[in-house]
Amino acid sequence: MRIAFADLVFAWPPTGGAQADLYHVIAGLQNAGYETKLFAASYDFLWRFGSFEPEALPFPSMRLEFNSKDFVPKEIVGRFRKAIDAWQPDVVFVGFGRTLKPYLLDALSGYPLISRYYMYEHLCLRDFCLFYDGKLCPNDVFHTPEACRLCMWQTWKNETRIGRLTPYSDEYHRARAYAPGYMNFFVSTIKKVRTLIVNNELAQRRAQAVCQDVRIIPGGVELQHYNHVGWARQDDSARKKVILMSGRADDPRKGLYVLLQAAGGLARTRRDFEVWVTFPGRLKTPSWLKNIGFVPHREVSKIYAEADICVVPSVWEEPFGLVALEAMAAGVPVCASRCGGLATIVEHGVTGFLFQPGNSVELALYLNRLLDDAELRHNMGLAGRNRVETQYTWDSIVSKYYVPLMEEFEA
Amino acid sequence: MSEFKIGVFCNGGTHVTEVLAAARQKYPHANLCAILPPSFELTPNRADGVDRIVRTDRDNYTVRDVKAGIRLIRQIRKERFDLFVVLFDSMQLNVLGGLSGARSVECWDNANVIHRLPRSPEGVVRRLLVRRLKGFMRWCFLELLMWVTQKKGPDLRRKEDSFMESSFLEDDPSKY
Repeated sequence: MRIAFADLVFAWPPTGGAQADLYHVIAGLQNAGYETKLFAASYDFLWRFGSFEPEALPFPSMRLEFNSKDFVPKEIVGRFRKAIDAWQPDVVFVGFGRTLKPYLLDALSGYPLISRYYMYEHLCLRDFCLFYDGKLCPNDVFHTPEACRLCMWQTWKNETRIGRLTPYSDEYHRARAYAPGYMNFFVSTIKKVRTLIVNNELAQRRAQAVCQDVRIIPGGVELQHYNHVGWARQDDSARKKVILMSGRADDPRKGLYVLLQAAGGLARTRRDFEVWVTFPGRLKTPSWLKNIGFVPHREVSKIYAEADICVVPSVWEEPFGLVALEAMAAGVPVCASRCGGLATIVEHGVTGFLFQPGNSVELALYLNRLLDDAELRHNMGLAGRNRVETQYTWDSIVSKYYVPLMEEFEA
Repeated sequence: MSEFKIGVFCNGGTHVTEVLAAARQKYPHANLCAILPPSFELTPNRADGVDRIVRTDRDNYTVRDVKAGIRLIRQIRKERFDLFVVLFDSMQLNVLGGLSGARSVECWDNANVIHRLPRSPEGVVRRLLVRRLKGFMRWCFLELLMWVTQKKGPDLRRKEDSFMESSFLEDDPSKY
């Protein structure tokens, strides 16, 4: 069976999780015996997106070149359609595409379509986060299209007025997402998709309003990056235990304040720990807090090697929660908010603890328990590593979810 | 022949590493100078290929503190760069580039995307004005479009408004 993969923001080396996800799915399906080919847009005028060398990829690919003038719906549709029609696939898998993606889905609707959504880009076109006023947004494109259209304009109008567009707002204008008919068009294209792939239950539940077949398929990790990590580390009681918050700690949705409240409370009763955060800017640091600054993704595994506990205190519905998965791969127990994808990745009481989002008291209780008990940390670390090895490697993800999906399409 | 001098103004962009590496690759024999705020440290891998580090007085410069701004511009002009590189295409960095006295000014959004910026104050003013004017006209048009096409209704938001939907899916009594 021939599977064409279309993506508007593919880049390799990856600049985000979506690109790594697509790469591993294509490579995995090719290894499983399917004929695959990637068709991806390539351009160099939008920041950090759309650049790759076909020779650097282990599967066949075609780069469709665009410049700032012709990266518009009409041209995108025409070129993708022509290239994919020439290859004659049996199934088309559409990856990340933001506000221009509906045009691609519409153009390829003659084929059986699979559409992958890595965040909430099928629900919230503003910034794909479904997070507004410090909480989960009750609106979404399927239920309140007009409210979402106005919300998008409110978000991008200042950038428009000063004439300095970022990649998101630039795409907003290119896709003409401000037009009155855009939202209906968006919903109509999703209705043409046969299978929608999302990351968590919230995304699935809301998308079921327009699509019958919405599946949750998690992402995976490259386990070999974490092999050198001392995941079965010996306890050294003289050393200060390291509580790590990895990821974009400067993003308010990631809930750094929850960890600081919890650790501040703990610091009144004990001094045997340090909190490490990856905050790119300056941070007022008490004695127990250390800001290790921005860490490039390829160096993250070295940080996990130092950590005893990893905390993911997100206060929004984290679509997936790759940080928790990476920590588990490194054999570090995880304390995470019970929300979004995190609730399914972390097994409460086995690989770590889940606490109510924003509840710093509950987090402090769990941290206290883990700091006191070296054996518990060790066992949870091992259980986490085992869970990743059995369920979240790319090989297991492809064979468990994608191969059966393709077999259904074949049948 | 004098050495080609490049100054990279590193004001906290996460792509500093890539830009410094790309600058070294593109100009292997140039004198590469990183201009850093006091609290910004280059980790060993970031410092690879950097010949010199120049420290600025402050981390942040504001319009109110003109004297500090003038000191920064003097400091940069004194270096007599052939190429001055900034990491973002913002108004402030456009102005800084225009006043830097360098022979050419470029914005490296990342290692691959390079925009040429004006090197004279007049050029900067012209560029920023044209950009503003275009943006303002587009904004006017879209504001009007939104006003005309907006559907009127008492409340466009959905009624349900839970803080976290999935956080209440499964309540574990053993957690306390």
